[in-house]
Amino acid sequence: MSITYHQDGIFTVVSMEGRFDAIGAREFKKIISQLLEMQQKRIVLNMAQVSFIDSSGMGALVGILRQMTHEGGDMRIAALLPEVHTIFELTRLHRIFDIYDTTAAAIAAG
Amino acid sequence: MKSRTIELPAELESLTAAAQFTDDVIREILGDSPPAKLGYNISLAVSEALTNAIRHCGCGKVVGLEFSWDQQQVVITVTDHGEALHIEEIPEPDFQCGAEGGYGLYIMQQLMDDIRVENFPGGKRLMMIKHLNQGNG
Repeated sequence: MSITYHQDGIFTVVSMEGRFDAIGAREFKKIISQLLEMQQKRIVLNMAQVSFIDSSGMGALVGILRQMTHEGGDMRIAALLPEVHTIFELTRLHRIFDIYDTTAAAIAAG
Repeated sequence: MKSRTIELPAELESLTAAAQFTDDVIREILGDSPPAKLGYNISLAVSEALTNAIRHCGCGKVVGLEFSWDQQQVVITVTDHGEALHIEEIPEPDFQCGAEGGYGLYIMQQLMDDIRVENFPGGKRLMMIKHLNQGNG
C-alpha cells in the first residue's frame, strides 16, 4: 500500500492506495505515528484508492483511532469503496468511525 | 477437480505473492470477468486464513495455499506448521466495545459456506469451502 499526505487547512489528508492488509497496516501505523509526533492530530483518511481491506487493516484503524482519541485528536474516514465499506459493516466497526462520502465532506464537517 | 498450489515462507511479506496467486486462480476458476463480490470474498477469506497461519506459525517455516475446484465448489486449503486450532473454542468478536482484533475467523465464517480444520502432529490444515452455483458471492 502506498501512503501520501498533504495539509488542507487544519486537517492532514492521508491518501492511501492499494491493499490494506497486514503489510499495509504496518506501513499505516508507521506513517500515522510520524504525524502524531509532528503534532498533526486532525486527520482525514482518503481511502478512495484502497481496493481491499481485511481484519488486519481494520484492526490498525481501530488502534490508531483509540490512540488519537486518547491524545485529543480527530480521525475521519472518507471515500470508502463499496466492497471496503461492506467489511466495516460486517465487523460492525462502521459504528465507531466518523465516515464521510468524500474527503471534502469530511473536512467541511468542521 | 482441478487444483493449484503454492508454498510460501511464513512471513507477512508473502501476503503480496499470495494475493497475486489468488487473483490468478480466481480468474482461472471464474473467467476473466469474475463476479466482483465473489472474487473479493474469496480473496478476503484467503488473506484472513494466511495471515492467521503466518502469525501463529513461527520463523523459518512455510505455509501452503491450495485451491481445488469443480463446477460446484471451490475448496481453499491453508496448511501451516503452527499450533493446533480448535475453531469451536474461539469466541465471536466483541462487537460491543469495537475490538481491535479477533475478526479473522468470524469474517471467514461469514464469507464461506463451510470452514473445517484438521489438526495433525506439527501443524494443521484449514479448509474453506465456497459453493459456486449461488451466483451472488
